[in-house]
Amino acid sequence: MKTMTAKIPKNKLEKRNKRKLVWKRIKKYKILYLFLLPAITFYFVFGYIPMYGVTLAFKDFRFDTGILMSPWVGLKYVKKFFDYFQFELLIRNSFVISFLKLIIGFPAPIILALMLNEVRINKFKRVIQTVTYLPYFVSWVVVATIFSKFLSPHQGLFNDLRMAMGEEPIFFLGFAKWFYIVIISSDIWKNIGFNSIIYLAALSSIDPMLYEASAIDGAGKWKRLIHITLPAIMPTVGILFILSMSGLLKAGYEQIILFQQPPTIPVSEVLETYSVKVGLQQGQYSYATVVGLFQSIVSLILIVVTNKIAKKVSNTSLW
Amino acid sequence: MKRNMKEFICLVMVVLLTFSTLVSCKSKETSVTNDNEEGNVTDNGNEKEPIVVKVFSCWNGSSGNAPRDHYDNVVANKILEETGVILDIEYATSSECENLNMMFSSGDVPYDLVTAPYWGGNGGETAVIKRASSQGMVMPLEDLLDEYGTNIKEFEQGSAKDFLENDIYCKEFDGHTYVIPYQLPAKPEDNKNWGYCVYVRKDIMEDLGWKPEDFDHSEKIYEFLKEVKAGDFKDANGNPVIPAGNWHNGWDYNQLTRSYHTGYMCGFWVDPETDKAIVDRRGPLVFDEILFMRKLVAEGLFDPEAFRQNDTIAKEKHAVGKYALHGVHYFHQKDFYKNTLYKDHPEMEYVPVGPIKNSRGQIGGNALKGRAGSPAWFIPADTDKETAIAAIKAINYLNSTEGKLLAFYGVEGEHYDMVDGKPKMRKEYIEMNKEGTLKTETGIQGEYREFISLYPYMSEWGEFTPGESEIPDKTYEHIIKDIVPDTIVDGYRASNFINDYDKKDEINELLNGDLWRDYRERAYFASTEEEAKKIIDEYCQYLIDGGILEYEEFINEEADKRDDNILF
Repeated sequence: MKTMTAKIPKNKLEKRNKRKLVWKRIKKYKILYLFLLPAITFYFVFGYIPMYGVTLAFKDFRFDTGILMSPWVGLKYVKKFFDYFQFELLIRNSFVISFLKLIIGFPAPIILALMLNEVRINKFKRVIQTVTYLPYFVSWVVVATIFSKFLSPHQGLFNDLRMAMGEEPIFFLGFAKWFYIVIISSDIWKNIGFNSIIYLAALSSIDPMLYEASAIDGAGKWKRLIHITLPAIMPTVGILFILSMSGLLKAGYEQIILFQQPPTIPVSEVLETYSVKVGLQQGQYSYATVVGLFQSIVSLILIVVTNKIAKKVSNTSLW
Repeated sequence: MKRNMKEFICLVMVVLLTFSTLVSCKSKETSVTNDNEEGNVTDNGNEKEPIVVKVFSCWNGSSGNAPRDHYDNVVANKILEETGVILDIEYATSSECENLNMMFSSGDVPYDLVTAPYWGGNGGETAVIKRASSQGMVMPLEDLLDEYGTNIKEFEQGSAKDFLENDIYCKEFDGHTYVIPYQLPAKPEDNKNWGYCVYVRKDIMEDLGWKPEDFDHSEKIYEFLKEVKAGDFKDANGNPVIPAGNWHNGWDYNQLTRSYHTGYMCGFWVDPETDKAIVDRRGPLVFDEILFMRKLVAEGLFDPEAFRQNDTIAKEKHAVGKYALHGVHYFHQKDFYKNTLYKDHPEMEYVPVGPIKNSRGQIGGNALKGRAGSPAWFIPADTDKETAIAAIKAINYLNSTEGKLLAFYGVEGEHYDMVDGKPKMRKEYIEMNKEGTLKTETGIQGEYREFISLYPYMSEWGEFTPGESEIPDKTYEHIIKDIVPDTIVDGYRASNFINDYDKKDEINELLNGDLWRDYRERAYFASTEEEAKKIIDEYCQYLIDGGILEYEEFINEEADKRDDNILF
């Protein structure tokens, strides 16, 4: 026995021992490990099995044969998508809208959380939290209707104010520059409260002793924010930033299609709206899958790259 | 022992959790059977168990036709008595095309019968139904119709010949009959002219000294709108009116641009010098039309929100008489205003104006002999054979003389009487119809009409809207005689040649209506005429790059080959 062990390289032996240890541990706590089964089943059934649908991008979808048995067509639809005369426009619009949402929309809940953290009157804090949190539960259809009403050139609140000041009414939703503002502001209005929750949770975990100590050392509110609060929530910010990078091409189908007006189509037609139009409305499932697949691949690349950069720069990473 | 019990309980919990994850994947058969069991009516006097046919009305918003109870209403009870069938109907609440696509792509249609748009050609819903039919998702009906549906087969009499040839019996169907059109005119006089034209608020028109007949060109509309803008006109709430607008989603501002329409039937423009056809989107009139609408938008004469406004917002505006002028069909606005604006403001009545001639100097429009494009019903392929037979028997009954009268007028002696051979609905039911409760309470004039192939409104019943004897009224008569009279033409539509074109799918995608609409409406908002032209040129270049020139050449060659009347 001794002779055999001696023949096996050390690292292999270590690996084998580690494996044995893992199995021993699993065996010991088998019932607890068994509790993983429903979650694994769930993800297998609803997360992994549907992934075979991706093959649709390389098939000619037939209603009767379904995805599995539809005939393969290779890169026919990929080529069609890359050749589409508005391909560049779709990519550009998707990036611009998502990027604007990211640079303006991402810090907004952090700022809100930091501000709420400084509020000392609990009742006021709760009211603000509830007020900012509620729009998250309002559907985009309602949000779009509210915004459209406010921005309407006829009896819309903003135009009434303009007219009261002697200005001409503006069709806010009909100009590209206003369109971006409306899209970003409505997105922030809807999601800021909900997205700030995770930062508030991170803020609540900061040890109050740190603040007390810094106060004794003479640090003011600003210094405490810079040197204690922000560094404490940075790992959370980093993780959420990496995750949000995966959605850089997801500009938000529902919101955009509801705000879309003829003059803003050149800036508002994004991959998602196009995918829904050709897929659900025109029934070109294979083609729409290519659009979706392209979006997913870009997202995957972005998340991997960002994760790598974040790991090097700040030692924060998803994996 | 205690430890074993604990382990056992944990194990049971895990099994339950895992099972609950999988349990939603139940089969269709189970759910349908359960539905049927729940819905079965046993207390109907029939010894035989009724057959419940699950119907899907794939018409967005068709729930307005729904009776309060599909199992117990005048029409349903009579159908049950005559055929032993209950039609249990669900209604679509979103896009028809999306519903059809999702239904077929699921591979397992959860309905026994579906009614849906079938406007012919290869666009929209028709293309989905055609594809599904030729891919075995729809049940072939020819044998069942021969055996159980002789009344249903009447649809052939009301269909245009090229609609039958290219759509109902198209080549892809390999001799099978999958789709049955309905709502077809029984005779040419039953061909309903919907009265699409421009309507103007009477009080504003009179105030400005205009007469309905003054609106004889789109440019006159422009002049009128300028005067409206300059005037201080108010809506029912005392707010300023908008000179022009439309109903939901841009419907139907095209009425305003009639002077720039080709007047052809199939989306082609024919060069009068060479007699050659091109796709009308590339024709010279398109740019005139676009400049006209751009002028209205740029000068604040047309509501810029109206191109994409939703139904609720549109109705809010119309309910207070917000627009001085709009385009729509007669029946839609008549019903709506009756219950809203006119209640307190009859002086704000909208009156039809015109006639406005099209670019070829015609008033009215050309209508095909028989109907080309229609609503249709089909039976999904996975429907149980017995259920399919039952459905066809029920529909066949509805297509009998008695069945048609039942669906439109109710039961003789109870809801209507025969006077001089024509049905006359009793007063109380006419009142119910006016109040809008007839279809809900009795099912009469409700969804059951949607299974009837031929509508003999005028030829047999002498009234266009059964039970509303005041229609045709004077206004409607004026519209269909003087403003938009239909000229019935017979012939073969050139758009059908596409069926023989080898790049048919590519051309259909190229001519996608949504993309064209986006470009056209973008041009209305262009800051200059040059910019508008640039937008349209970009679109035309897209058509040319996609092979539209070759397609147009093919159409002209095919047209030259035929001796019959080719309709462009």
